[in-house]
Parts: sequence; structure tokens; C-alpha cells
Amino acid sequence: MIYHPDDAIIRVRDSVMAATAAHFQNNLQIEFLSTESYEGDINMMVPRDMTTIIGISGPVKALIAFCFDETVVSYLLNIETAGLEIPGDELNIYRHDVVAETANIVLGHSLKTLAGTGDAIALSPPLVLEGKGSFRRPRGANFAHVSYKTIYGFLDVDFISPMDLDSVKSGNRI
Amino acid sequence: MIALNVMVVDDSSLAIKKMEALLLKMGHYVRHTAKSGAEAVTKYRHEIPDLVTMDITMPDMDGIQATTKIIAEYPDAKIIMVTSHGQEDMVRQALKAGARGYILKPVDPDKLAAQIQAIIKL
Repeated sequence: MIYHPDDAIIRVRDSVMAATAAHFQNNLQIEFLSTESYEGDINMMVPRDMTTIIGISGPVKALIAFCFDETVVSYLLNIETAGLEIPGDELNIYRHDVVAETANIVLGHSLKTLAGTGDAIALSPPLVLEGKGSFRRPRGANFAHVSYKTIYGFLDVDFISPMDLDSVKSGNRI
Repeated sequence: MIALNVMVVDDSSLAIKKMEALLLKMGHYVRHTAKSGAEAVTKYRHEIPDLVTMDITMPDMDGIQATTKIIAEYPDAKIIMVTSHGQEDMVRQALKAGARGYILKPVDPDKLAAQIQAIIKL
């Protein structure tokens, strides 16, 4: 089954929101102080310090960007590496991995509900971008945005459909 | 409990480090790691570990393709898929490829220990 892009983006957003809340609150012990969401206006997308982008394909084709404040990344890194010996010169690799793994786990779990129709949904390996940079807004893309406020800063999750990861890898930021 | 020589395959250094710590705590050894499916296949041929924990989504060659290749050459290879993928179709594909078990990230140490125990008894 192929979803209409308007329906797809909302369906993906709702599924990812449920998985984000479950992972952050149950596994990472981070409470959301508030949650805001809106649809439609891609120009309202807020660039943050680190972004992980994962493409999903199958009945739903979309790019999903997890945008983190550096303070949230630092907190995640602290809890995810607690008790592990991390060489100082590899710390940046682990910063990238912690945001990539967070996005992977959330999306991986959300696929269980998204793939309810029986159609397999594939995930691309995550692409991690550092720095706020400038964002190129694709014309005609459907867009949805969710912003989570935590005591450590903000995490935003942005949904752009239909779009694939190659458009980002080839040098265009979202 | 038997101490196993385990190879951990994941494109994330963090995931490898966390899995290594869990396995060491259980009394096993992690002597080899790989960050892609292709590297896992090559290292398996050289090292023949007792057990492999294998991520699914990796660049180069994914975990299901790597499992298929390893099992084609070593039908007795013991591979557990460790992934964030929750879809049933992915579980089916992994088991069809020859994986002996499947565990979701974030890894629950008790579930991992139970999977290893079950596979070793097979």
C-alpha cells in the first residue's frame, strides 16, 4: 500500500512521536517539559547544533531529521557512555554515534507500528551533520515538525516527504 | 557457563563498546569487532568466533546480507541479530538468512543472556 504524501507524513509523525516519548522517558530518563507540533511550513524548521537524518522507504518515503541542542547531546553522551572507557581523542566519534543511535532506536521501534500493513519499510544508515549551517528548503515537500523541550535543551524531529537521503548526501541540506 | 569468543558487528563504535561491556560482564570475550557487513564476513573467515552479534542497518553490506554469506560458508555459525528494527518482516528476513536469534536495542542484559544460553544449548 502506498500512502498519499499528506497522510503519510502525519502517520509517520504520530508513530515516531510515540516511540520518541517511550525511548526518552523509559530508557533515557528524560522528561519532556513541553511538546509543540505543526505541519506545513518548512521555513519554520529550526537548525540546531547536531542533526541526524535517516531516510525511510517503502509504502512511506520520507526524510526524518532529529535536531539536537549540544546540551542534550552532552547529556545523552554522559548516560550512554557511563562506565565505559572512552579515549579522549575518540570522543567526537561517540558524540556522532550517540545521536545516530538515538534516532535509529526511535525509528526502529516506530517501524513496528508503521509497518502494520505488512509492507516492509527500510531505514537508511543515519547521516550526522554537525553545526547549524544553512538549510535549503525543498519546494513542494510536505513537512511536519515536533519540538520537545527538556531540562537539558531542545530536541526537534522534522519530517519531510516525499524525499530521499541522496538529496542530502549530494550536498543539499534539508 | 562457557566463556565464548564473540565477534561484535555494528557500524556504531558506541554500540560496539556497550555490547563488549555487557558480554565481558557475562564472562565472555570480545576479541574481534567489525563495522560493516563486508568486514564481518572477512573477519569471520579468519577468526571463526563462537558467536556473532550482528547489527542490521550498516553501510557497505547490511547485517542480513552478511549473515547469509557467513551461513553459506559456515552453516553452523551462531549469529544473533542485534538491532533497533521492530518490524516482524525484518525478524523473518534475519531468521531466514540463518540468524539463530534476534534482540532489540536498547539491549536488555537478561534477554541477551537468555538468547546466548538458548543458542549454545542448540
